[in-house]
Amino acid sequence: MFRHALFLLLILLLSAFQAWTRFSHQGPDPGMADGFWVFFTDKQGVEFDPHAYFHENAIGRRLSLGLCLYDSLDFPVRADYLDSLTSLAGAPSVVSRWLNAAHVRLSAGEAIQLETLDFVKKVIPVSMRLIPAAAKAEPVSQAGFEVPDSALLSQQIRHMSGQAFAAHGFDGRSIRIAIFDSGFSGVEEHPAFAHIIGQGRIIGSWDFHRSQENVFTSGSHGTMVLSVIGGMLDGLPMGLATGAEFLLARTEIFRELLVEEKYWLAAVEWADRHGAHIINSSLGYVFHRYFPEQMDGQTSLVARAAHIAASKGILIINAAGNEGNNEKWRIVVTPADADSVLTVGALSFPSLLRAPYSSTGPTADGRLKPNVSALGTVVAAGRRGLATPRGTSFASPLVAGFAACLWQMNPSWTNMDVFRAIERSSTLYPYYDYAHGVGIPQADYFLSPYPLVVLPTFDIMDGGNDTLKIVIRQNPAKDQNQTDKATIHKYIDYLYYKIMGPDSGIEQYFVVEVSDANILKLGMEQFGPGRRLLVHYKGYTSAVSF
Amino acid sequence: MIDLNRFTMKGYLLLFACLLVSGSAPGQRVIIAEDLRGDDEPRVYGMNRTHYSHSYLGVSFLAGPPEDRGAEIHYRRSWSLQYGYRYKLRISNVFSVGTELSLHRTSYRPRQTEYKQVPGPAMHDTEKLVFVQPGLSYYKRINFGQRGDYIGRFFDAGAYGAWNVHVRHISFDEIEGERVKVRRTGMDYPAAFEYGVLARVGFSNFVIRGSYRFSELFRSSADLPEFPRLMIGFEMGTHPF
Repeated sequence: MFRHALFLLLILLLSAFQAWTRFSHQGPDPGMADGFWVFFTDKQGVEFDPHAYFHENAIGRRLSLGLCLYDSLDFPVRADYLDSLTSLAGAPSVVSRWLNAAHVRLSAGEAIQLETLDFVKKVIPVSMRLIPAAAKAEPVSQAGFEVPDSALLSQQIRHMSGQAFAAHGFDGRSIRIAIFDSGFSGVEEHPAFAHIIGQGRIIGSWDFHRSQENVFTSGSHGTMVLSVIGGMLDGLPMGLATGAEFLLARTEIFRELLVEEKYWLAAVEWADRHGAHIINSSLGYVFHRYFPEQMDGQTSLVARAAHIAASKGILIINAAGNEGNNEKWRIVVTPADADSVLTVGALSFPSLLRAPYSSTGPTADGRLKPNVSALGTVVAAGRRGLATPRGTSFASPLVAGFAACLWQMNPSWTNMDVFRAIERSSTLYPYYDYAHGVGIPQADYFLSPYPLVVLPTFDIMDGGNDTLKIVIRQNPAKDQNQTDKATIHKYIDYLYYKIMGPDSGIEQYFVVEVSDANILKLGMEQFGPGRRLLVHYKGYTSAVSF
Repeated sequence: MIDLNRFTMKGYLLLFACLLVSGSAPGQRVIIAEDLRGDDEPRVYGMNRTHYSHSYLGVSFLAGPPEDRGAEIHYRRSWSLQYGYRYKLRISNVFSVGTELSLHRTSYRPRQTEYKQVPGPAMHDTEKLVFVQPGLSYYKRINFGQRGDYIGRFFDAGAYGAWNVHVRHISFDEIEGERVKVRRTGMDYPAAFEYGVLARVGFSNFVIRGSYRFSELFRSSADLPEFPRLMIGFEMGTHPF
């Protein structure tokens, strides 16, 4: 009898709990210790000497953008605030100057108490998982030191006409690239990095998890990424920036189930301080922390930090993410959602079309992402040999190498000049879709000996019976002293078209293989009022409004 | 070649429609087709959205003492397999409620001692009582930590009820050099229903569960001591990690 009564009592307690949860669901998370950012109110009275704090590159970047060297964002966090926080909650694991915040572990109760302090502006919980953008891609094959696919190795340079940079002596020299990744094991011994190590071009490194300089002990995802930016095999480049300088930051740890954005944030400030021109981040945050509708470039702390870094002249290049096959996500991850981040999607080899795993756009607020695309399947240097990994992780460093060469070629450009020029050079530009962005950046665009012209490559005409017909032009005429943009797109033999809605957003987009001059016939009934049809083929884009 | 892996279901439909509309254009081979219309509809189904459901597999072992020495069991060999389908209704980022349908197969192995009373005093080489139970449970969930569309860390508390739809008694004995298996059903001593409370702690797909049976396993008329009431085990959710 007692047992039955106890059971009924428990049922009643559960019902009471339900009533409580119904009316108290706006309350804070209970209990357990978790990561929190404690934001401080001010930086009054702190001392800051930019010449002592920054590398000369960082000073130069700021001056080239006309920025004040005494930006309060760069000022240190007040020591007395940190001392008080340490006495109340223990030593912070990360302190962010830009956010004027410190990361500590607290219970929710302690967080509420901290929020009442005069010098605390707000306390927000953070707990998330960072996904290297190759984690869910195809398995990596280790193939010893024999090149597993020489056609692929050649194409990972040539699909961006990257050989033109090398031919003109541009290899990213004097450009400093920071790589945020999960570990760089094998870099010191692997022959693909002998030229970098031998010339002392790893300028700095930091393991943000272990607080040590050595980043060569665990994880080889970063090793592969570094090789795709600047590795060389028997004189053959694996990436374009074989002459660049590198900052290696270990910001991610594969084996942890839950880790936090704090290391990424700390690494951005570290890279800025040490004079990085470019940051390559083959990492992104997804569903563990966010909903896809929050991929608006404003919500996540890392997106906000990316904006600050861009405003200080750093070009941030981020992998789009490998959620393309994930029906519940599909779109780009953060910080690839930020508009000041050059987001790179992955292409399959040899089709040069979006790889099925590559995250697509648009962002939650309807902006174009990814910005550009590059091969997602590459020959890379693994821990023990060569590998052929897949993922947007490897498309991003290919473009980082491209950007380094372009910046070396145009040293007076700002980060956003480089960003826009990369877009402008790309195969589809000014056309874009949410699978490929504006296409593949092309070095030939900058290095062609003759002025670049865009000649019509197709005609849109009435096909009869309420249809539109698109017909490819054969051998369009051009002046001998001109470079037809179509010729630098020789690897791409697809026709792209899209239907834009009245609000200028893409409603539908298509890629069609070209195997006949009469390439496409479209029924007019699908074009309502206010809609536009845009068609692109080999550098030429044409539009029809309805 | 058209790479079929590229297409989502929506893509297939669009591709089909495109081919119909386009008529006989001989050069047209659509490789990518995406339709974004309707993509901005609010989503209500997901791990941390309004509705979510998934199946799970679990195994639990009896724990705790029996009512008296007459109901002692082999703990390691007395266990329950569960397969269930769980529904979760999100109230907030912290709180959810849910229900689940499940099928349990619970096997009790009485120890063959001189004190043995369940299901009877007769001793066998080995013996087991197997309960097959479709059940229904109801739970409240507290989630810990900020997260996106993700199950995350949680604590569940709830109650369950199950129908002992099929109970059998199986014994094995060695008789004159032969192993003899005796299987009985239709006994009059098992209770018709079982109920109790449950608790779970979990991280995403991995769950540790405990349940406590409040009801009697045997009818009062049988006057049998109760097996241990506590079960502890783990579950594996079949949803994506």
